[in-house]
Amino acid sequence: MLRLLTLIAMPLLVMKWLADWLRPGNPLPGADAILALGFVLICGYLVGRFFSAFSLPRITGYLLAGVAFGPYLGDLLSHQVVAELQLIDGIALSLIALTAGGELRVGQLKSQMTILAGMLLGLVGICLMGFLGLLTLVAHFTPGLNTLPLVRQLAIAALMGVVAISASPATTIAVITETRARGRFTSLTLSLTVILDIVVVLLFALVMGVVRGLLQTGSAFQMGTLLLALQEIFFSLGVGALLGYGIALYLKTIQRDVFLFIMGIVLLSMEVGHLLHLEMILVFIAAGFWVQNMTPLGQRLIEEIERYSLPVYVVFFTLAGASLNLSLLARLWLLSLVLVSGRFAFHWLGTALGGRLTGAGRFQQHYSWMALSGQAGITLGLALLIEQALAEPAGRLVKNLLIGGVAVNQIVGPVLYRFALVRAGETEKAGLAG
Amino acid sequence: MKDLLLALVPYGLMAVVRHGFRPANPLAGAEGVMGAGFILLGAYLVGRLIGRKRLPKITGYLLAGIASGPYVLNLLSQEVVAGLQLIDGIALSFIALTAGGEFLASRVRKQWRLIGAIIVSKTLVVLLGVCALVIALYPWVPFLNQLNLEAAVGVGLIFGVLSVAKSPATTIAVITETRARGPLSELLLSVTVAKDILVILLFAFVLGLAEPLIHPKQGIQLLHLALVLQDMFLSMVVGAGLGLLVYFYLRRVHEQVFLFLMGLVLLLIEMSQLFHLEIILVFLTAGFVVQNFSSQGRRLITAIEEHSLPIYVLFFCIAGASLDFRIFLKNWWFTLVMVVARLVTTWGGTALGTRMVPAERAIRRYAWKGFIGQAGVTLGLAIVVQQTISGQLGLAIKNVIVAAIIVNQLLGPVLLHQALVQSGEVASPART
Repeated sequence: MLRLLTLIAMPLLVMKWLADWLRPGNPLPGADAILALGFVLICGYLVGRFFSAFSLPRITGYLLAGVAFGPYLGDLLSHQVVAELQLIDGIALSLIALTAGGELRVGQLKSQMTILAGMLLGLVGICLMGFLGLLTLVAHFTPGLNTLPLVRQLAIAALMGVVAISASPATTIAVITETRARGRFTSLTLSLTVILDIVVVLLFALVMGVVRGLLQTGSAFQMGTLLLALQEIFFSLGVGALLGYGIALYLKTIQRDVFLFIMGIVLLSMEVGHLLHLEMILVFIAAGFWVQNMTPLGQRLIEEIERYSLPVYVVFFTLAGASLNLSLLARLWLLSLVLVSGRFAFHWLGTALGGRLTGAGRFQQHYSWMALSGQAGITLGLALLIEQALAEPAGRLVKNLLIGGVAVNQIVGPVLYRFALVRAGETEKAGLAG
Repeated sequence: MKDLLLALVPYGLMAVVRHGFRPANPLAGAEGVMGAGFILLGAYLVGRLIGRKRLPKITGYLLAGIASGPYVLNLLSQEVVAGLQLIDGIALSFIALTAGGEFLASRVRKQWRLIGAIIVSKTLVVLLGVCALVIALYPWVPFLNQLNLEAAVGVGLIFGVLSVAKSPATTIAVITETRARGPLSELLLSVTVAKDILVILLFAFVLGLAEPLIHPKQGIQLLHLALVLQDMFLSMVVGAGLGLLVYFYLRRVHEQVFLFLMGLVLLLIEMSQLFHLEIILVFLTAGFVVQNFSSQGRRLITAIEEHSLPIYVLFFCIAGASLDFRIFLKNWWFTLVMVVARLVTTWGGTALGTRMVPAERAIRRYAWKGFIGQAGVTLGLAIVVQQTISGQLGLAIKNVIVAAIIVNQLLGPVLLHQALVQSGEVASPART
C-alpha cells in the first residue's frame, strides 16, 4: 500500500514541478498533451489499483484521479490539455462500443426478451411521467424557470426526463470487464444498457420534434428530426454490420496482430464516420454484434480487445473525471441532488415495475437500476443539444443541471453497479484481487 | 492474392477521402488520427506482402511510407507526416529500451575483445577511407571544388564520421521481427549499443576538429565536445534512475508493464527536451540497468516485444514518408559514390576486425551486413552539421547525407535480413 502510494507520488511531484516552476520556453508541438497522457496513464492506473484494494471499482479510482488532477482541483491537467486529449476519448469509446456489441448474444437476448421489453417500457414510462411531475414542481421554486409559461416548463421537463433515462454503456462494460462478471444478471443489465442507449437517442429525437412544435407556436410536430435520427441510426447500423464483416474476414484469413488491425480501423473510421454523419458508438456496437452472432469468432475478438483494454479504460475514465464540472455542481448542488435522487428512484420504480409484470426474479427487479445509474459522454452530448434548442438563459440552466447530475452519477454509478454484481454472486473472486 | 486485395482497401479508402472530397469541418486533429489509422492498416498489410518475399517487413513499411508519402501518392500530407513525428520519439525510446535490455554484461565480457576489435577497426577504416576518397574526389564535386585542401579534409572528416553512424532501430527491428537467436545476432546487438554511444562522442569530437578546417577563423572547438559529454553523463544518470524505477515497478506491481513503460516514455519525451537529454541514451541506460542489475530483464523485453509491432509499423512508415527523393536527384552520382564507399569500407573494416580477433565463420562473413542501415540518428547528426557549417556548403553536405540515408535505409534492412538468414539464425524464414 505504502509502496503504491510512493509510486503514485513520484509522477505527481514531477508533473507539479513541471507545471508550476518550469514553464518550458519552447516545448515540442503537442508536448503538453503527450506529457499529460503519460501522466494520466501512470497515475490514473495506480490510483485505480489503490482503490481496488478497498473493494471499490478501479474505474472509480480513475475517475477520482481525474477529478483530483483535473482543472477544477489540482489543475495538473488544464482545460486545454483535456480538450486536446478528447480525440483519445473517441478512440476509447469506439473500442468500448466494440466490446459491448460483442458481448450481446442473440441467444441470451431472446431468452430475456420479455423482461428487457418490460423494463424498457417501465423505464421510459415512469421516468417521463416522474420527471414531468418532479420538474414542474421543482420549476415552481427555481428562480430561472418559474417565470416561464407552463407549456415551456412541460417541454423542458420532457426533455430532461429523456436525458435522465440515459445510462452509460461504457461504465457498464468497464465494470463487467474489471470484475470479470458472468451470468444472467450481468448479461441482462448489459443488454439493458446497450439497448437503452439506442432507445434514448430515438426517444430524444421524438420528444425534440414534439417540443420544437410546442415552443415555436404555430408549427406542427416536426417529423424531420425523428426521420433524420432514424436514418442516421439505420445507416450507422448498416455500416457497422459491414465493418463487422470486414473484421471477421481479417480474423479468419490473417488471424495475427488483431489488435493492430482493430486500432487501425478505429483511427481510420473516426474521421470517415464524422464525414458521413455516423454515430460511431452504434457503428461499433453493430460491428461487434455482427462478429459475435454471425460468425464463430466473437470470443476471439473480445479476448483480443480485452487483453489491451486496460490502458484504454484508464485514459478514458481519467479524462472523464478531469472533465466533470465540479464548479457547476457546487453552485447547483441542491437542485442536482434532488434530480439525481429522483432519477435513481424512477429508475428503480421503472425496472421493478417492468420486471414484475414480465416475470423477472426479485433480484433483477430490485437491483437492475444500479446498472443504469452511471452517466457519461452521451448524456453530456444530449445536454448540449438541449441548450441549443432552448433559448437562453433557461437552456443554459438546464444544461448545467444535467451536467452537475452527471458529475454525481458518474462517480456513484460504478460503485453501485459493482455492488449489485457482487451481490448477484456473478463476479470472479480471483479477478477482484488481481 | 487475397492479401494484395486486402492491402488495397485502405489505400482506396484513403485516396477517396483525401482526394475525393475535402471535408468542410473536420474534427480537430482528425487528419493525423486518420493518417495513423491508415498507416497501421496499409503499411502492416504491405509489410506482410513483402515479408513473404523473404524480405524484412520493415522494408515493406518503408516502401508503403514512400508510396503514400507527400512526394508520391500524397495520401499523407506533409503536415500529417510532421504531426506524426512525435511517434518517432516514442518508437526510439522503446527501441533504446530493448537495445539496453539486450546488452548483457556477461555476454559482452566474453566477447569484448571481438566487439572492441570490430568497432575500432571498422570506425577507423570507414572514417579514414571515406575521408580519403572525398579528398581525392573533391575537385570534381560541384559544391566542393572551390574549397582549399584543408577545408576538403574537414568536409571529408564529416562525411567519414557520418558514414560510421548507423541505425540502431533497424538492427533491433529486424532482429526482433525475425526472432533471430545466435552468435551473429548477439554480436550485432552488442556492437550496435556500444557503437551508438561511441558515435555520438566521435561525432562531437570530429565536428569540433573539422569546423576550424572549414572556417579557418575559428579555433578548435572542444567546448561542443564538453557539452556533449555533459549531456551524455546527465542522460545516463537519469537513465539509471529510470531503470531503478522500472525495476521497482516490475518487482512490486507486476501487471500492466507496458502501460507503465508507455507512461514513462511519454513523460520523458518532453522532459528530455527541457533538460537536453539524449532520449536514446536515457532509455538505453535504463534497459541496461534493469537487465544487468536485476532478474527482471527478461520480463521487460517480453513486455515490450509483445506490444512493439504497431510502434514499428508507424515509425518506419513515417520514416519512409519523410524521404524526399528530389534531394537524391540533385547530387546523385556523388551520393552513390558515398554509399558505395561506405559499403566497401564497412566490409573491409569488419573483415579486418574479425581477422585480428578470431571469430566464427558466420560473423566473419556476414557481420558487416548488419552495419549498413541508417535512419533517424544519422539524420539528426546531419542537421547538426548543417547548423554548424553555415551557408550553402552546410546545406549541400546535409543534402548528400540525407540522400545517402535514403539509399542506406532501403538497403540496410534487406542486407541484415539476408545475413541473418544466411547464418541460419532465423528460426523459420518462411513464416509470415
